[in-house]
Amino acid sequence: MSFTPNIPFPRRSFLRGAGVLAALPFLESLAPTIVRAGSKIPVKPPVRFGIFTVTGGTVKESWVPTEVGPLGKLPSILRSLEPHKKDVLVLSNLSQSGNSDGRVNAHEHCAYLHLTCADKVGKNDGKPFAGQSVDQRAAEVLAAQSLIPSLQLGYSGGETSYFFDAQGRSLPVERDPRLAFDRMFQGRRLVAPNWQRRLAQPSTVVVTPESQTYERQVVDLVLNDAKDLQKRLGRGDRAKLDEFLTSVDSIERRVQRIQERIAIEALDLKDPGPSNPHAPEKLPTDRNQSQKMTQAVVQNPAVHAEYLRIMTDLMVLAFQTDTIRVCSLGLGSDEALFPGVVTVGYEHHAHTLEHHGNAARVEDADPVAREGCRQIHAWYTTYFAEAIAKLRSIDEGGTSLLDNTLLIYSSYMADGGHGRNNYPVLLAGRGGGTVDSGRHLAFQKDTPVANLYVEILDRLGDKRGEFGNSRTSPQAAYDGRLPGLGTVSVS
Amino acid sequence: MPDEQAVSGHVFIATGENGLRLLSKDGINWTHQATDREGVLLRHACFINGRCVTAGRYGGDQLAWTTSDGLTWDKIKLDGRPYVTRVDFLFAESDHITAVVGEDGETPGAMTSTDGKTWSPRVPITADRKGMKHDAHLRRIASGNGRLVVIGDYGARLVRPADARLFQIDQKASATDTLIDIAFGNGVFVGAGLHGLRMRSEDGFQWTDRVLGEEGEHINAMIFDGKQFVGIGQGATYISPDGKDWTRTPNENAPTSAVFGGGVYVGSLWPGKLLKSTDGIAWSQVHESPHHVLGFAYGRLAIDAAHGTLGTK
Repeated sequence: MSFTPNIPFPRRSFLRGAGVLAALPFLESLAPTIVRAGSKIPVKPPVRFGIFTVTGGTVKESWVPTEVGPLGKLPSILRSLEPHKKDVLVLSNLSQSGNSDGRVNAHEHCAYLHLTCADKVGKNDGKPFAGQSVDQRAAEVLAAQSLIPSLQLGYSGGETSYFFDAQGRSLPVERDPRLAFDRMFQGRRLVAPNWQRRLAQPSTVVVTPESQTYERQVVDLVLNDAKDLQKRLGRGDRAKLDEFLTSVDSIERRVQRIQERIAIEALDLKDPGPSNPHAPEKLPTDRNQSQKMTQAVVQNPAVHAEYLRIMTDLMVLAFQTDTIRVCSLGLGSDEALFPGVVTVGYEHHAHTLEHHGNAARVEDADPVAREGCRQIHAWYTTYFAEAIAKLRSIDEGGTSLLDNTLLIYSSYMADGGHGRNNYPVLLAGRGGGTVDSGRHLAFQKDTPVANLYVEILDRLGDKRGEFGNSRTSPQAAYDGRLPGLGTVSVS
Repeated sequence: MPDEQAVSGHVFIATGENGLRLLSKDGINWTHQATDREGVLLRHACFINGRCVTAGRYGGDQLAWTTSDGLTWDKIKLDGRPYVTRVDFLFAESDHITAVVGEDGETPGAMTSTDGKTWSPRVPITADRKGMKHDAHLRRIASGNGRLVVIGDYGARLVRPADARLFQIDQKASATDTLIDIAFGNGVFVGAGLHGLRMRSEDGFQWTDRVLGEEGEHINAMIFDGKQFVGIGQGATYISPDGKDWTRTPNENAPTSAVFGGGVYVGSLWPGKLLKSTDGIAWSQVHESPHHVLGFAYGRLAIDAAHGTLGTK
């Protein structure tokens, strides 16, 4: 069967929205489980991976449950997760052990290790280096199935750079919510994938010559001209041309896949999935408004709250529309002010509170500042709880988006004193049924955080079984794994 | 009270961000709003000799602005090291006002003035150079039983007999018992802090009757209203005649800073909400200012008709 999509929006706009980072669209043959149409078994949409990480200075005694096992009354920072207890898995005693080269400050040291778990981080010629961050490894694994491989949103950057590519180079983060939205959705209609149909039918989308995009035609012209030229070139020039052709070929494949995606989404538009995606309610209407909001985040907690909601909504929307399978939110700022959030004492500046509220011994810290830190992190958690509620509310055809997501909630420092031991970390969502939630698991002291990332990557299909310093850390444990998270799916 | 008219008599003043100043006779109607450059933070206010003195900072400078009529303000830059010296609080004593100033790692000092315009050189307020944590700020003060008691960060408590020059630092004070506010009445000092902490003392050194409240019910203001202590917390108001026996009443919309005067409680909530209450329990918003309020005081303005500026006590 062939299909000529009746596309209600310009293809070129779609392509521009998808941007040069666009890779393979969703391919039916890669779906983890195929359930035939008419079956009563819920469809099993793909697993998405999200990171919701906030700035430092959390207060561990108010974060880590005292009891191991089924979650009872949650500690005060996590209190707003009470309605979602069955969907979260709290993990404790996970630590970072990577060294720095001595050219980074304590915040940078923590930030660069946060998602990379590298043995060593530092700076070369003033530019940060670390290992590949877990989101980028996941993006690599899922690239063939994602319209956009990954997106990093939020306020991190500079001293709080968390995201690093395969060469260990720091990646930019999109602060502007309007730009982030446009990048994902410009020229596209918001539509929920009909996973029932997508997974039940083998690939039926054929891109006919009539449906080829202008970009595709340009690529064809370039390739034809290059092939003619190739015959007339010497060996050296031919090698250069080969490199060029390889890159054009990559673009060609990308264009091909985007075309396939356009066709699939056209089918979804005719027969969409059960949920109804919509743009974030308070998404700035233009760049000007968006920039004003972004600039006011650190000054005004009311704007900060709105920003957290919008960025979280964008992540949910990206997952809901299967635009991205890996989305990271680097939220908060150590430089943010929290009047009205911190209701005790006189100081509202997060960084100052972090330093005053932490000490080598807790009893030496300023308790008022420590309480301020606790209030800030309890505040962050309320927005994380909202994210969970939104993911839970989205029906993907018998399972919720939360069921099909692995979402980390953490902070780049274990505490405001630049601590790297016993990170606050929890995992929300069921990862497509591979995580048994509703518990607190306490591991051996200083078990590498990398072990958690190995488990997540494994559930996304990366079977290499190691990440960062999962096997090289001086505290290596559990053979580089985290036992007891839940059953790993067979991919 | 029309904005263009000079003010005299007892008033509340609210000071805050962007040089915010607001006056109110009754805690309900706020007038004479004045603002300044972005970045001017007026954190403290106090009345002396018929004048109101406010203090704060702009960039690295420490400021003292003063008025006797609510209309005209004299703006003084205080001596100090830019970005290092800070005004911790103001208090009125006898016929002068004192600005307690601090610098991280230095002994706290005091500068005094009778009019808010001319200030004495800074002198140390304690001989105990190592008695305080190097980055601790001093925060509040109460006067009674012939002495002054100051509280600050990391549980700092300092006591000075009214006729002495230097404060003595209480070395026994624990950081976990940090007091956020302090008041004096009925012969005792009563302090309050995190999670409903309350303690009482007759001399500022020996603190007894320590009790805690609910988690998160931080008492941000301890006020003596002439009859009883009223601790205004986030979630509950605690009331006691003596700092021993307390009544806890859940409150709503409680402010994070508060002052009492003329039978009315006045407080503020971010951003810029001004609240009033007749009992410290039920609060209602009466005004919303364009900038957040950082400090309050209640006192008397007096215009000397002959000179048009400084009034008499």
